Amino acid sequence: MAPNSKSMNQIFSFSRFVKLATYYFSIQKRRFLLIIGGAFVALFLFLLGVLVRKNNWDGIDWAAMFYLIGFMGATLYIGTAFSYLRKKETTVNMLMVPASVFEKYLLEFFNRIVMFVLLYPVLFILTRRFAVAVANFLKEGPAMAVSSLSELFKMPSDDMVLPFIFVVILGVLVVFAGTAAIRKYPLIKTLIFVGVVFIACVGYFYLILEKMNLAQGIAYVFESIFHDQDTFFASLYVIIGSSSLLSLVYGFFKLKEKEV
Amino acid sequence: MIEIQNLTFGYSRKSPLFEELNLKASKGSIIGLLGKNGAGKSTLLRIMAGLLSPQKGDISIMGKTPFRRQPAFLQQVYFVPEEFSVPAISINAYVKAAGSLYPNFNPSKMAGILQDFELDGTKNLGKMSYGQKKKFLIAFALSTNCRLLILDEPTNGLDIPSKSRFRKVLAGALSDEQMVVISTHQVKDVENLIDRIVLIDQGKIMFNHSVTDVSQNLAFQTVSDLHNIDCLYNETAPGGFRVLKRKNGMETPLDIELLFNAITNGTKLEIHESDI
Repeated sequence: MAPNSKSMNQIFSFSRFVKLATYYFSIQKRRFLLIIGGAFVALFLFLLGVLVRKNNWDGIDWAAMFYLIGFMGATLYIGTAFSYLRKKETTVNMLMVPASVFEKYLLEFFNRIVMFVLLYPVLFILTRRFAVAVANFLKEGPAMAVSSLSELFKMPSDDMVLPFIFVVILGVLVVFAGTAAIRKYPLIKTLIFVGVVFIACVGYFYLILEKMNLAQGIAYVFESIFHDQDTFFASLYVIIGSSSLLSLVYGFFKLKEKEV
Repeated sequence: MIEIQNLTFGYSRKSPLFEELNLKASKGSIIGLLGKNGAGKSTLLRIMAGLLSPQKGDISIMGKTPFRRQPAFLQQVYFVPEEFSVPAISINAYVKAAGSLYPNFNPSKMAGILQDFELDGTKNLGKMSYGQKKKFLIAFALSTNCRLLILDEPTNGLDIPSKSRFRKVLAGALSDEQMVVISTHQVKDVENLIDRIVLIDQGKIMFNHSVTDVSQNLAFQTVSDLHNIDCLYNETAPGGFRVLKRKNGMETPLDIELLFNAITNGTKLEIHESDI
């Protein structure tokens, strides 16, 4: 093997990654089944409760429900990533598995983020069908039709799609990085950390620009930097995109430097 | 195989556990790493396994830096910690999934060792006792054929027949290309197994000699009184005293416990290294 491909092999090897994934899913099989089963039952009971209570079924905003439940589910599922890092013994097990840190990081990325993105819509659609069928059976009156899939993914406005995606990606990656970096209660600590940073930044700019009236206030500064809406959104995407990337890299290095 | 130079490590900067620690060991040996509680045996093993990063100094295991945790390193090192966790799946399922990650894993060797340890492959690991889990981990470690096996207190939790089986299995399962580092405070359990004694105390390696050299230089005896006995170290024992003397011809069985007590009590021992 050439030296370059040899060192590359120490970072990523597809066959090793497959073996690692097989190993990981074999030892976590029961846990995954419990999560999927639990999510199905919780979602079904929630949707059934909404359907049974509500008289005007046409008034249900399925898209809002889909995104809201998805957001909460993602926070919980991604917020419990790198679960093996929560205990010393399981941390030793995983760190000693013969695979690179990159492969272990990538595996968790697939397991927590890619799997969620792929499985959640399927789970929601199936559970909704099931809940509607049971609600129709329980409730008297005309049967409810399940709305179309396009309605489920519909955004209130087309302009919101890209900013929404960017903000969700940032949130997901910050939480994901937090779980790699923090040993105990990573989700809570990450949310507190993000909250504190957000309040500190907003508070600081509010204080120096608005309260102290430096540079003629926030509105003036805002308008002079962002001449139009396009500039504003372009800047927003750059900031959010680079922060997301930074979070991802930060999480990787925290895993790489993990000691136990 | 193991080269540690000027290693400094501590959980707090103010009081380092190791200072300028040096250790060299070559393949084909079973090293007994001995030391008092808190001497840093487990920490040293974790540094060797790449689970902890040294604050200063160089460490090289098979020419690799452990803390980089590269796959090529991890494929050749198996660490059995004192406190461990095993997944709640059957032995066979675990072996099938985890064995493929080790290029030299030998399933028939695993089956043989499981039989020696009286473990049933269909049994769920989650439902086994601590001792059974430990035996499974030792069996798996040996079957990986990793070049370096690091065993932290391997006999803790094993019953008496299992301890003897452990010695038998370990002695029969190793090749000359491998090395085993065993940390223990139950020296009797590994007395006839190890061929090098490394003693760690006060942050340094206080003793690092082969069992052959120790046997060629020192004699261990139990005597009823110390009159006319020129000993290096002695301690009371049932029926008299256990004494450590310079060897003067007679062959005596190695008493690691006495050796350990002598060194930790500050006795200076001169061991002439053999050429082998």
